[in-house]
Amino acid sequence: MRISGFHIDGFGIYHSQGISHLPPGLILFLGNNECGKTTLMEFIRTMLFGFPGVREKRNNYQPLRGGKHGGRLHLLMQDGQSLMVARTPRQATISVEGGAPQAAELAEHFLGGLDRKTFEHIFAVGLTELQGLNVLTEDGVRRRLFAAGAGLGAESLPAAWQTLENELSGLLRRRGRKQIINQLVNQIHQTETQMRRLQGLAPAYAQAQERKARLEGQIRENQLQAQRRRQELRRLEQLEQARPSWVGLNQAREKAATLKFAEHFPADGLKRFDNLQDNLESTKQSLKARQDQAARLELKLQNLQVDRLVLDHQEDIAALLGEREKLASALNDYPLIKTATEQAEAEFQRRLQELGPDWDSTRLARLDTSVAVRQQVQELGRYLGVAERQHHQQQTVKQSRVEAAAEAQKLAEETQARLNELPEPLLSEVQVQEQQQAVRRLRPLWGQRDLATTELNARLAVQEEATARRESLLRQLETPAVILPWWLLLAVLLAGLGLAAWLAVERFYLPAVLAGSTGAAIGAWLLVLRQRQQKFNRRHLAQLQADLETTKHRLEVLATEIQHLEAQINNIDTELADEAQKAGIDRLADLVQLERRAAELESMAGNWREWQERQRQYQEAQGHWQRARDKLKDAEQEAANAAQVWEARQAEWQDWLAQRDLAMTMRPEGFEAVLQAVERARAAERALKEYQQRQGQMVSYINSARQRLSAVITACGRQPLGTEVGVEDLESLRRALEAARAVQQKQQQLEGQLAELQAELARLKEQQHAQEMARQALLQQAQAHDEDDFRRLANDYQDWCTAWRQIEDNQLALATIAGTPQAQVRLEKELSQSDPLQLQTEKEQIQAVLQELEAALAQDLQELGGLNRALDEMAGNEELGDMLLQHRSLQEQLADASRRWATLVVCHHLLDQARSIYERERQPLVIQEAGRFLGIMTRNRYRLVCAADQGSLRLEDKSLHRKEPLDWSSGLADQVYLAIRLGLAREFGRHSEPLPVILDEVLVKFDPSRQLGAAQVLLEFAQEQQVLLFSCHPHLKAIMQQAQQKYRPDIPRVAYYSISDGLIAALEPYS
Amino acid sequence: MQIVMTASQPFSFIHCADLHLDSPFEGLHALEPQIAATLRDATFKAFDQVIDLAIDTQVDFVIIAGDVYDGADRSLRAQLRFREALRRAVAAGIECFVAHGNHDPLSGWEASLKMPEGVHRFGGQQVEHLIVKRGSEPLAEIYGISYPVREVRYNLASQFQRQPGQSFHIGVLHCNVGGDPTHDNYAPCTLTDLIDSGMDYWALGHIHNPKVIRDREPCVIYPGNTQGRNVREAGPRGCYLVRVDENRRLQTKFVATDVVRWSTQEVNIADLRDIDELLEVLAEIVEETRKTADGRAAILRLALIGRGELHRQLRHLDPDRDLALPLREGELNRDDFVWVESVQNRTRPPVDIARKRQVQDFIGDFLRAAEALRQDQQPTARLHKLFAARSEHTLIARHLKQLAQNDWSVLLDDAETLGLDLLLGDQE
Repeated sequence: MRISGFHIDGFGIYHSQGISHLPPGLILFLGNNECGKTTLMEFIRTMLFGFPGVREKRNNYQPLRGGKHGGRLHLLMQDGQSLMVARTPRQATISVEGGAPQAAELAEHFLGGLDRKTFEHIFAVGLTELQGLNVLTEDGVRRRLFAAGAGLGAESLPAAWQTLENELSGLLRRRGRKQIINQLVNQIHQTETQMRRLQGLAPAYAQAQERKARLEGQIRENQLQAQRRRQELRRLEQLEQARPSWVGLNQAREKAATLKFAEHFPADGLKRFDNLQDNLESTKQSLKARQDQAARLELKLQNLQVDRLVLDHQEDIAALLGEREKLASALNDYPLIKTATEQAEAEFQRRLQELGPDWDSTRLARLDTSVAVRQQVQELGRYLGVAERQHHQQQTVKQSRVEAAAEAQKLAEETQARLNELPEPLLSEVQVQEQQQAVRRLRPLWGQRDLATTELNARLAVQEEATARRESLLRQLETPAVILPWWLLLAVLLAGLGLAAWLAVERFYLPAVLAGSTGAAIGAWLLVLRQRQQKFNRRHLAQLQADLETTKHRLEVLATEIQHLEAQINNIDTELADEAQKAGIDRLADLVQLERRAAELESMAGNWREWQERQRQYQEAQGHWQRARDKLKDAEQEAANAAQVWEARQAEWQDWLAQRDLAMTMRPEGFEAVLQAVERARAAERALKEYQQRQGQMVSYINSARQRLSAVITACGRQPLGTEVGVEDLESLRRALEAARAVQQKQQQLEGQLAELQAELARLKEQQHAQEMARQALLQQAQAHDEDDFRRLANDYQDWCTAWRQIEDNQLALATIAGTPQAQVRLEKELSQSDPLQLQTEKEQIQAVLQELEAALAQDLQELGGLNRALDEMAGNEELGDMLLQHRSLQEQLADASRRWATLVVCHHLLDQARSIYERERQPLVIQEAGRFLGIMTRNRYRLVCAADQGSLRLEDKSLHRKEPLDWSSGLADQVYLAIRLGLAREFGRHSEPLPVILDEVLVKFDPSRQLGAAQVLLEFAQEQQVLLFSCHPHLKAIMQQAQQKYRPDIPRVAYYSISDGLIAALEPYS
Repeated sequence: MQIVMTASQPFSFIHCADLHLDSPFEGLHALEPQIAATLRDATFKAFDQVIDLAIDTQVDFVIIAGDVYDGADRSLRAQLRFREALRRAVAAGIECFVAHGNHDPLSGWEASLKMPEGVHRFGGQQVEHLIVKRGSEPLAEIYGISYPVREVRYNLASQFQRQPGQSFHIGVLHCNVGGDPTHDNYAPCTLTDLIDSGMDYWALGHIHNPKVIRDREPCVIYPGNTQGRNVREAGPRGCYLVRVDENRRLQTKFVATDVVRWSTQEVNIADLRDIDELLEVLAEIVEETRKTADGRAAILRLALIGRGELHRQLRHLDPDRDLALPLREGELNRDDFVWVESVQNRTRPPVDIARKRQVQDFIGDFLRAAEALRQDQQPTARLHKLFAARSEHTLIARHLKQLAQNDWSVLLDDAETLGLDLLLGDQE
């Protein structure tokens, strides 16, 4: 497949750029940095394999200079099929040989499923790949070359092997210890050992249970023995404990018997006697204090004096005091009321003046100011106002309509004038459109004709070149080859032999042998040389023959194509003539004429549209003017009607005023003001009357109050403070009344206290008597004569009580120790019969036995505790469960690791298989092609050899000396790499559709001689497969030309293009 | 044989089997100690729940149809816990009938541990016949036989014959009815054998999935195991509560007793953008599993499948550290934990392998080699030969032999994916 043309609508810095005819063979694109070379390479890849997906992190080269994102690529397949691939980010269509575009994927349908990455690994070589070679180790170079030949990423295959090997080594080794699987196996063994140990727990458990049963029996027996001993010991301790109580009991009994005479003394006699004595003393003291207090109260009562007169009239005084505020207020307010009355009188008079000189109270009362009259006035006023407003409004409308009609008339006149300026068009709109369509059809036809013509010219040029090539080949075939003649060989041989014979005859045997062998050797060498010449000649002739056949075939194909193109051009011409007629062109000479016609038609269409627009405007203005005149007429009629109504309303109002004797100049809104003035005058009159009434009431009250006050003052034996009685006199009465009341209250209080004291005195005397009687009775009860006797009897009684308490305590102690009454009796009996020393001895013996028993018990219990713990541990031992879980987990991990190991081994095997296939089937062909290219590059100085082991590459020079990659120079390694990549591309192209090879600055690292060699290789390669070479070095063009001239003058010229800031232009081959 | 039914007392019983006490869970790779403790106790607690159910529902007896333990894996603790549970049942007045199976044959029993009164173990020499009574009235007649040794390959069901009697006849047997290929074919028999024996109810054991083989005349039931122990035993596990009315009509009800429930889920990465989105989806699955487990703890195995861009990111992750570990956070503090046992990465790169297989390049050769191996007549033999060529193979030969047939196919797919990832790795 080769690219026959492309068009970029919008892609990066490219906009509407392209090459319509891209030749086969080598195409060189030259351009400085940042000119768009990479963008163009990317465009080609994008057209072949699509725009990057949303998730891909690749630049999709949005159009920077306009145009629709995308473009198209014209392809010529190996089988001769022509395709056009058009792509935008959202759509891809393929057209096959002028057919309809269909949505399809190029790679899937036509490139055998090749994807972008594979394309780049096989058909794209860049400078970065070459740059990395010189920093690699020998192994690295070998790997890189292998990957290059296999069509893989630079490091993918070696890295893959290394990864597999590393992981396999880390997983398992035959005698390894640290590897994962090795460790798992060991851990599993250890776990199984522990599990076996733990599974022997059950028999141990059963034995422990038996021992436990025996031990428990022994413990029970010992505990019984110990219990008996303790009981005996308790009995002895009991006797020991009870003895002091028993002795004390006996002693207390004796004491009680001697004090029996005191048992009749009162239980708390002494205490009662002391209390009585204290109470009596206290009563006497209280009596004395009360008597003194009563005497003081009587003295106070005698000193108090009360005012009886005031107290007798206190009700009257209280009544007057109740009116104090009223009286004071009345006296204060009277002058104010008087002044207010005078002011109201003046106000009333002023209001009457406001209404008019002839207004008085009578007229004021007569005027009807009811709501009905007001409503009537409002109604009349409203009607009058409405009529007046309507009249003014209609006048305004009439004026505005007059102005509108004048404007409409002016507009109509103007549009008429504009319409008259334009002439009427000659062609209709439909006719113009038809001619324009014809012009649009003409354009592509013209383009097709151009394209076909260009194709035809190209084919003719190629035909010419092929014919020249054929002539050249025929000449070469006719030219005989130069080969060493037979006779020369014979001559040399015979000469040698002759000389040898002569020397032998002369008895110079050694020289003879030397001469003979030399002659033979020279002869043999000449023979070999002749044979080589013949072989070369044969090969050369065969090559020439093959080339001649190829050229002949090409000529035949070209003839057919030329014929086809000529027919195509004729058809296009016919079609062009028809369409030109339709477009109004008699004879279409060139594209300029066509464009001129198109411009004319466009202008005609524009004029017609303008004329139509003006006519429409004129008709619109006329209609508008007519409507304005109609509206003016209506407005005049309305204004006349409104004036009539207004005059009628005015007459009605005048009549109403006359009926009420009101001024004829009054307006309805003015009548409201008159009504308000009347209301104000009436209000003033009412206020005046009110003030007058209040003043009269106040005078009457003040006189009455003064009379009553004077009477009371006299009755209380007092005199008024001033000439007229007033509030001060009332205050004086109040003070006198309060004082009299206070004295009276004091007197009552003292009398009450005195009465209480006297009652208290009586009570205290009775109490004293009672206490004396009680004391006397107590002495009699105790059978004492006096107080001393009484106290003595009390002490004896106390001792008697103490003795009896001791008896009770000791009995209680004995009862507590014994427990029951029967046991106590036995205890006392035993105490009376026992000896303390004997008891002590017996106690010590029992304690010794008990100690032995307890020691034995402690030991047995400890052993039992240990057995129980052991049994519990065994019963609750989860270790086996843990081990089982761990064992299972380890087995799972081992199974996983084994599966992983197996996966790695299988993967390794598959990679090995792929590598074998490559080395067996592909690499030899790749290497063969690469070797041929390398030979061209190095002038057959080196031969590429693929070693049998692991496919490593070596170079062999002419003296068959092998050179390992370590010994390669940087430039040589680059040459080898380039040769292998080209070999791979060539070999791949033999099995699938060969795609154009894209090379980016691959020659820049070579020195001039190597560049020339590489250029020759590219020319050679490009004979069968299109090569697009991108570079920023202009001298590459000269190198290409030099290579072509020197080595392959027979091949078609290389196409040269320049790229500059997004513009692609063809370069002249010779600058 | 014509059986004349007469009215009798209604009664009920619990039928359970395959307790496998103290046997470890399978398929677990790594566990926190807290989780491990819960799982260790799970089989015990499940059986405790069976006994609790028996006591709460006041059944008349309990039947345990074999595989109490896991053979050589039985621990003293397991034996003691089993005895203690039976003691509880007996203390509540419930008799227990135990038949032994291939995992706990009589030959392996520890005679020193005495069982409580009221627990009857069937011998291995011949079918034993026992009568269950309430007071003096017989309720049911129970027939049973245990495995004398581990491998019993003959038909034990044929030895069961109904004795004359009016009561309800129950057969207890650990066997493989109909030759279920997923279980060892011990004590093989057919459904016809069971029907011909004349029993009214067959209390079977051995198959771990609960299954009602036949619902009447006779009723034949596998209750399944009381606690699932691996990912193949997902879903509810438990026992059957069987009620028999006075007319001998049966009412059976499955009651779940498992404490930990297994679950497995696949997640397709095709529509997922990144790891965060994947973790969100996985977290949702965890919560969904928690709901389904209905208050129980759960063990969840997640498998990522499908093709998508996410595969490239997953290649560089450790599934346990980067995916499972975040999902396990916070689960230790919950009784209803969902423990993500593992997250298996079975994704494939977003590559059209069929298309790439057609291309005549190195990768195409690799894929064709894989396909050739896949299409081989005897791929397993070829793979074994491949492994045997490596000297370290002997250490794990046994484990590789245990891989099932479909494991090989998965292994080959994984090898193919690994190779593609390695070869295409620099395309990111």
